[in-house]
Amino acid sequence: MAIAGTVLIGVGLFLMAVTVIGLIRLPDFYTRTHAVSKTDTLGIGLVLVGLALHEGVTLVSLKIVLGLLFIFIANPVAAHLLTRSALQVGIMPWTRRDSAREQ
Amino acid sequence: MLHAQLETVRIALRMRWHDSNARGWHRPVFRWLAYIVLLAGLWVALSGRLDGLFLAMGIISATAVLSVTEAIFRPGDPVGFERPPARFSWLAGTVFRLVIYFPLLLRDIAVANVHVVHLVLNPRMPISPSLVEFESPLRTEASNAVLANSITLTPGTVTVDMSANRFIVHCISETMRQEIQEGVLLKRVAHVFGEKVEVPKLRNLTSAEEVKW
Repeated sequence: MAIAGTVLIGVGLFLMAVTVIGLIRLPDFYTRTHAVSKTDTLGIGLVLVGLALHEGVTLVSLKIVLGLLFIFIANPVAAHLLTRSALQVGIMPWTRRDSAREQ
Repeated sequence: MLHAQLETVRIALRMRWHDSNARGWHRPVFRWLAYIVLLAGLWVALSGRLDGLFLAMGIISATAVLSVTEAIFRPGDPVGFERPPARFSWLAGTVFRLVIYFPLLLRDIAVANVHVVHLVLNPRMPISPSLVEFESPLRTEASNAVLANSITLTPGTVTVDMSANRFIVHCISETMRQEIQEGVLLKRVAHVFGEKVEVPKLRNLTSAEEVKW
């Protein structure tokens, strides 16, 4: 159990590192939102599941699972709102054509 | 100020019991009971105590919270959508299929995550973002909401806007666009809610003029 938990926490941390790298590397607002809200969801999810495995079947792990549920509901809503307001103020997504024009 | 708020609450209270469209399981009393059971269950889970005093406090505070926030969550008129069937067998079947749906969604999220990690870490960064729109063929509010959230949860696609049946989705790569085009998630959500659908055609959005609000 403890080993499985540690592995999950490790994978989760890796995903969160990828999130940060993506935030820096990706070209525009929308693609960055992808990195921040998605890999992040699974990253945090895996870390929490790992912690729950370390804890075993207790009340604390139940609370961790509830937090997990909340993140899985809150994250897509936040991503949706961010991109929606960006599109509403008229920011168009970066495309391959834009990069050809820049060069 | 306070008077205006009290007036709002009074109107809300009066309307609450006169929802003439509600039939069967859509009647307000069932919604209230469901919310109270849910909140009281959460209370028990978080406090971890089952004695009478704590249970009573939980139910009382659940009712108190509900009486304040109920007006926010009360389903309005589902503009442009059908009301779901009020049969118990439909409700039970849908809940059962939703429970099966979540592991499948989790698997999809994991697969798509690997794809996005590959996109971000690849030195050439082979992304090709696109903005597409399609008309959702799903008929109820709930099924459209589940579809929109599932698309957003799957890495590589974000539901940017969903107004009535019109979905605007941002895809990070051609692979993810294909997935939307084939309607993998759409078909699965339709199955969960017991609807029969045709996969709609995608349309590319390239300029701000095409994104009419």
